[in-house]
Amino acid sequence: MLRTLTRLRLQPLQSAAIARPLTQPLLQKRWNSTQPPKDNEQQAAPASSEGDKPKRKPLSRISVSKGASPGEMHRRQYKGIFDFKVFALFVASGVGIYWFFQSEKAKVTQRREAEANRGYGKPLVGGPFVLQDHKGGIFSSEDLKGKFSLLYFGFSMCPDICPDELDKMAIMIDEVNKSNPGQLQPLFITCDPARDSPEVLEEYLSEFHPQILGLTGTYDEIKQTCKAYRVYFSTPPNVKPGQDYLVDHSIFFYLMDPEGQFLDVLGRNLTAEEAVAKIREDIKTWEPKAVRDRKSKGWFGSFFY
Amino acid sequence: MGLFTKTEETASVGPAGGDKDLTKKKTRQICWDSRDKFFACLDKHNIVDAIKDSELATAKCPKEEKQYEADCIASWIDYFKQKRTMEYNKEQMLKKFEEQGAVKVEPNVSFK
Repeated sequence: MLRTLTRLRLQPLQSAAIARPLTQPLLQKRWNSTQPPKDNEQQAAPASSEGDKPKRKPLSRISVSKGASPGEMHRRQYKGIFDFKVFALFVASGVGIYWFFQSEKAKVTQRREAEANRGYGKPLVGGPFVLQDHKGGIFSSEDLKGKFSLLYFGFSMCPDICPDELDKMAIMIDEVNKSNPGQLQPLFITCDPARDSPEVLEEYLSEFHPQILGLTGTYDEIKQTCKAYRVYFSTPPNVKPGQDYLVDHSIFFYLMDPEGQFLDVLGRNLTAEEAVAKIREDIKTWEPKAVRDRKSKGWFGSFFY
Repeated sequence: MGLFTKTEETASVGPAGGDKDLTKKKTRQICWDSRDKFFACLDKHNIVDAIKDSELATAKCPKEEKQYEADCIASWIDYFKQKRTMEYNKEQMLKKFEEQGAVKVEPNVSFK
């Protein structure tokens, strides 16, 4: 009874007003009785079994778990939550999730970087072109597909840089042929279509490497191609027939992937060996666009970025 | 490169432009060899710019110059002379910077 009382007293203030009229008579009763309140329970039980009127225990007095003291109950509850196994599972799953997120994040970051190296989504280098090859056929940007292409822009009357670069290209072709046979198509696009006919290109390129395919076309076709490839070139204006001239042009190699998309640029500062290493690495790490898209659009990719 | 830009002015001056096929490795090498001989002679006489000091060059290295002009084509003849001057100027500039205590930084060209 005292417990009921204290419980009520402990209730929040709002209910105190309602509780008072109820507790008032109880209190009076308690004080009137001579028996100590503790024995109330024990005495009530035998009385009910023997006596004529079965006394009902108040609900608050009936223990939830039979035979267990409130202290023991508490202990059981405690044990139920903070079991060692549960704790171990908690820590393990925490560590597991942390590791998983970290590794997923690392993968996503790596993929992003690879994607960025490919030229920020849609490459700005390259575009459609239709030119004539030195064998008398038509070579278009569609023909870039299926193989990696190594592109060089130059002209046959080039005094010293183009020959140097083409010698380098020959080494690159031979070396890549060794490690990746049949995977590289070397191309030479002239910046001087007026003088570089297919015949001239054939003779010129045969001295460097038989695999290099020379491409030429009309001035406008070449101009358009160079523009698409961000290659600068300028033929001096007002050249009289028979007069010789030089063409100013950008110097570098482009590596295009088997889907005809820009993959890498190799500057003049690279030695043939460095360029070979770069091409090999590019070929090794290249993945078709479908694979790249699937990976970058993976369910986890959007989670971090 | 800017090296090529001035060529149209002087392109017509050279002897026998066009009849030598310098798209061939062999003829190219012949031209380069005579060029090296001519430039070696210019070095000996401390002539840097063979275009500006063309009279002096002709006076000091007549044989070499003649051979150089015979083996190369007009556009190349001037191009190599210009290149030689430019490289000399570049060297001098670098030397000057080095004396002033400049630190050489390797150019790291990246298009990424």
